Amino acid sequence: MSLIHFIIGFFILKGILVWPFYYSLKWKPLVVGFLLALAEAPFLELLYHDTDINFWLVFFFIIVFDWMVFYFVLQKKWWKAMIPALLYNLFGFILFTLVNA
Amino acid sequence: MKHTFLFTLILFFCISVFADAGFGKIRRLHGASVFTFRGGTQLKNHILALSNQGFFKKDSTFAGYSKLWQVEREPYILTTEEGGRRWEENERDIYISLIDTTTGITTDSLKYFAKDYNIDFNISGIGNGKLLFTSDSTRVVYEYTLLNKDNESAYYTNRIIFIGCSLIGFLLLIVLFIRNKNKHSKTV
Repeated sequence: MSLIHFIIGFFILKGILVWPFYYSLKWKPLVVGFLLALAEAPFLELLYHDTDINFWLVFFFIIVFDWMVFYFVLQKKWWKAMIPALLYNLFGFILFTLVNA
Repeated sequence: MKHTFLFTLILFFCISVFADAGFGKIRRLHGASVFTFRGGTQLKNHILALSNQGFFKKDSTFAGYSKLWQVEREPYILTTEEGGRRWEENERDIYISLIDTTTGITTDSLKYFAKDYNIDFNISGIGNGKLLFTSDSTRVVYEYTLLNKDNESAYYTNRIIFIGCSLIGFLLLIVLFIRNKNKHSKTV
């Protein structure tokens, strides 16, 4: 299976599912979600398979990173950025560990 | 700017098709369990019989038992994989019986669930018709590599695509952030 499936999965989580939170910004949340997927999915894969890094730490940093991106790039409301960053990363992490167990 | 941005995005999205994320190699979540039996020569006048009603049903060689072996081969290795096919959940109950060859009576039996663990049996003998053994279990580790290092060119290409996609994603996020900042500073 190629990397594209993983990127599409991340895009659904971080683009399409985040869109209702920022629907007033039109296309921007989708583009940001797509960029997040493109940036994080291969990086996460490389970290998970090629290094012995503690994955709980990576999970924590990804939540913080998403939170920052949603806050600084989309809308400056910290609570609004926190909900999708926490919720969808949790979904993503569960799916990721299930697939890569 | 907008066109370059979109072009780069689409280009890297398309390129990611060619990178192998390694999921194809891990279709099964669990590796095969391996049971290793050592000390078969200690079984005097006895044999160990394996009964797995699910998987070995068709291979009936002994009355009441689906599969039977005399521990002559040392060590005897049993794995929950045969012909590239893994056993299903309901086939993983393994019944091991100790049978007296002179009377044909089962004197001892053990039951194991062959999943997630490899078990090493070290048979030390037989006492009062019971099997004397020590066992050691280790967790099954399913070894696989994300990028196949044997094929050098494919490994290089895959790695470049992985790093490239990740880098371009991060870079474009930074560009978005700077553009957003400039827009805000202009309005303020």
